[in-house]
Amino acid sequence: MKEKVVLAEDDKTLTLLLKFRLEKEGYETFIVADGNEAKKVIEAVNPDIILTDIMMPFSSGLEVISYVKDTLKRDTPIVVFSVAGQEEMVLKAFSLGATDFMAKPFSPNELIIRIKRILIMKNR
Amino acid sequence: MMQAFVENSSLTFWNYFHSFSLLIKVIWIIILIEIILIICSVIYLNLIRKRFQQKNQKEKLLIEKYQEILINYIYLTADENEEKIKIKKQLVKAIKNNLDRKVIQELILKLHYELSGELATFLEDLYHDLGLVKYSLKKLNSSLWYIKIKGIREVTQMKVKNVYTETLKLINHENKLLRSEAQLTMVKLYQFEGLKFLDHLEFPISEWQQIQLIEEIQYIRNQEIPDLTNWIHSKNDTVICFILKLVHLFNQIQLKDELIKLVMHPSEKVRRTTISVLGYFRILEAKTILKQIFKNSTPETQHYIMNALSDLADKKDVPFFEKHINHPDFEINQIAIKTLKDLKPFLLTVNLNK
Amino acid sequence: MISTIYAFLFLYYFFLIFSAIIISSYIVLGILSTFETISYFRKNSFVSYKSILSSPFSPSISILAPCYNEGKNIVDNVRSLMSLHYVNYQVIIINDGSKDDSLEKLIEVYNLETVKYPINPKIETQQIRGIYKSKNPVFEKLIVIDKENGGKADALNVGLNISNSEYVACIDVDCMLIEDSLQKMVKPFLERTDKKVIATGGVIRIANNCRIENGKLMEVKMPKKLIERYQILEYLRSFLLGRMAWSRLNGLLIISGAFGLFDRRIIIDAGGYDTTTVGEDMEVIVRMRKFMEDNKRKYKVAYIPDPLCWTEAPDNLKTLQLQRNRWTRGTIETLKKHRKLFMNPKYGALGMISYPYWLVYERLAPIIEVLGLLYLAFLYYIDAINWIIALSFILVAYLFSILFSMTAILSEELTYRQYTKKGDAFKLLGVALIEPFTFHLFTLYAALRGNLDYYTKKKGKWGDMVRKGIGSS
Repeated sequence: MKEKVVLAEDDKTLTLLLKFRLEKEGYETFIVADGNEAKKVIEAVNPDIILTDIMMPFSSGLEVISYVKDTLKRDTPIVVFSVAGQEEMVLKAFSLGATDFMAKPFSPNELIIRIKRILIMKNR
Repeated sequence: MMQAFVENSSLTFWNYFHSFSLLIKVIWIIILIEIILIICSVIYLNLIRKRFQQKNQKEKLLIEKYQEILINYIYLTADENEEKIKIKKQLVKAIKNNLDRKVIQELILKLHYELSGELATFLEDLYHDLGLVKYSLKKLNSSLWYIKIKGIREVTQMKVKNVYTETLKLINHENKLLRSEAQLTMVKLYQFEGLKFLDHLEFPISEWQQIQLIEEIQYIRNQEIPDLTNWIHSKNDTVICFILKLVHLFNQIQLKDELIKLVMHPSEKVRRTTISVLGYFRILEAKTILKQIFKNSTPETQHYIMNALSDLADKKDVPFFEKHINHPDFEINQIAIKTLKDLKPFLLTVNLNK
Repeated sequence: MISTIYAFLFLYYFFLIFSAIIISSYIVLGILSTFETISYFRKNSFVSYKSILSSPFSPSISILAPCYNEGKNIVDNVRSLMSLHYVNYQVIIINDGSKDDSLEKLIEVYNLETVKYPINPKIETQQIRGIYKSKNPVFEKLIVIDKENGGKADALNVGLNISNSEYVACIDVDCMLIEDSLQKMVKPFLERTDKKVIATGGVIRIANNCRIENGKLMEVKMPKKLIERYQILEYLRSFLLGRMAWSRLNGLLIISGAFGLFDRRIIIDAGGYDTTTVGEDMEVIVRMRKFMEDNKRKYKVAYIPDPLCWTEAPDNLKTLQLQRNRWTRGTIETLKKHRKLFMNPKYGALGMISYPYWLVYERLAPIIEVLGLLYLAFLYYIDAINWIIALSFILVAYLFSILFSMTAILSEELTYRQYTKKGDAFKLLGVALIEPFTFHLFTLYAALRGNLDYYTKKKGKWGDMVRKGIGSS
């Protein structure tokens, strides 16, 4: 069975690029453009890993993390994307239970490597 | 017959109009102008709302079209060369059209902004290969400042390095935004080397601009920090303040003798910034001079001095701080009290040891 | 007999010249502002706010939010204030002796405990009962002060005493700030190298009928009620046309109490907020300007037209009347207190242009307008109206007011375009058509009531008044 990835990111082109890449690597990818949608999709599909931007319309990546960890009580690994200057938010994301973070601009290759590593650790 | 009627009626209208006093004539001319203006603006309003929607629609379609092509292109492997050439031909053709080019250009720039590593380089190469650099340079030579800015941003992001002289010319441009952008480009493209623009700068650098520049300079890696001494003596006060921030950021503590001299600088802003840096570096040699100038400084500068002295304080300074615990200025007496609190336990332990 | 005729002629020319000056000054304001707004908008589209968000050199800001009986929304409002995008800021909530459970709610939700905190007693205020901070480090930005009731101005003064930031943002706690508000408002302070910027004013937008979730603005919508739409048009005119022009001339006399950013040292040195007026937001700016002029320092009051602050406007006639009544009294009190400025060349443009303008067009305009109507009625009574002239004049004025509103709508459409739904612009246009005969007469009435109350009633402390968010427009 394919592993499922939810990708929450409001930049359309970047999302499309990553989706392409993820599917090439053999993941089933679900794309959402805002925090509210992210919560709904995560609850419905129960993904193996979540990739989320920190700043998104409606509800932030932080809220998504706390929704997964506290409300749904799942231990799905979560990788957050941030831009320079959001260090404080990244720390908060970690304290809320994020697994890893990637600072934008980032390299998709590196992202894939991290996803693979996280999923291996999880399946152990 | 019909014509005669029209003529007749218009004639009577004019007769009627002429029978009014001058005041009413003027008023009615004003009313007419107002009505025309209102109608024009309603039409204009309608037009811009419609145009905006249409343009949005059209652009959206183009964005969707080209982002798919672009991403497809990015992921083509080495053995799909034929397909690659085909897409590239299609793109080269498309950029001859203004709107299409704008969309493609923006897509590449936006994606590049979010990516690093091999894909970022790939996009830079693509930007060159498609001939988009030519259009960016054309913008740079426009006579309108806002188009120039767009151009300069594009070449900076795409790391087009042969624009040194053009950019240097713009650092003293009369448009503030444009010259700020040019200064940023100097640092982004040429890093410490680009700081040479400070020698030619005729305008002050605002605090805002200093923050922007420093954010760029911070990320310069693998380069030796240049000697900042010359700029410390700049005639431009804001340049000195800016350099002081760099001194702070890069811990250029070896410049301490120069720093102590700056405490007597004629510009209050320079003095304040210097005082903070002295405190931050804990340059003990500065203590005497700071105490000397304290009395004759403005209240705001006194805060800076007090803060610096607090950073530098040791037990010998107790009398100085004790003198100021009842200073009328709240912030000053607070620093004095706080410093004494920090110093006193130390004194106690010293006494005990004896 | 002849002197009566002269008196009439005098009145006739007085009203004629008054209207001519009003109309031409509005034309100047309109052209200047439209130009200025569009140019600001274009320039701002090139500004990157990325650096200010991460720089260790970003100046510190304290948000001062007085709160009086806001128990219903206080928790959400505070949360939204704490989630702004800025590095170096704190949120100071001043509970002005609320009679409801505002404080208890804050203590419970944010896990507050009493702390010792040094207070600069520079401005005299009511007694402070306690200062609270959160035990949870997530909320370390938050300081809550509990004090005896003393009114909004007094609460803000307590905040000024407590803050030690470089800048203070004075706001109404119930208004919603867009996340990048602080970075945009602080920019003018950091940008000028030739003048000291002492304060920056922001735009107030109307949040009625907008979609709001957890104290955050989600979607801008055109309100349904006519009374709300009137105010939208009015605010567009006032903020996009009026204030923009005044800021261009560096003659801005008011910053909305709902959102303004001040240089802390200067507002304290000028004496803080005046607790004896209901128009403290206008008074403080006039006093700060006077302070700078007295000290012969070059200064500027800046203004940012971005839609950053959203608030609920009154949606019924009674509240609206009270609000306008209060604005009128605030204007009268401020102008009276600083009458020394009037035509005083020592105060430059402040004394020679801004003050006289406010006196004539804000303070006296409603009265002159009513006198004009009475004069017309009197002429009608003695059957001395030249109907053609009278109606022509009315038509000129009416069309002009539509044209002026139209300019505001166009300015908005060419820049911020907050109302994007189909037909929204034409709804505003419709409002502009009927406003002169409806809403305008109501505001005229409210202004007269304000005058009447000012001269007859004792000054009520507003702390106990119905408070519906908005500062003066």
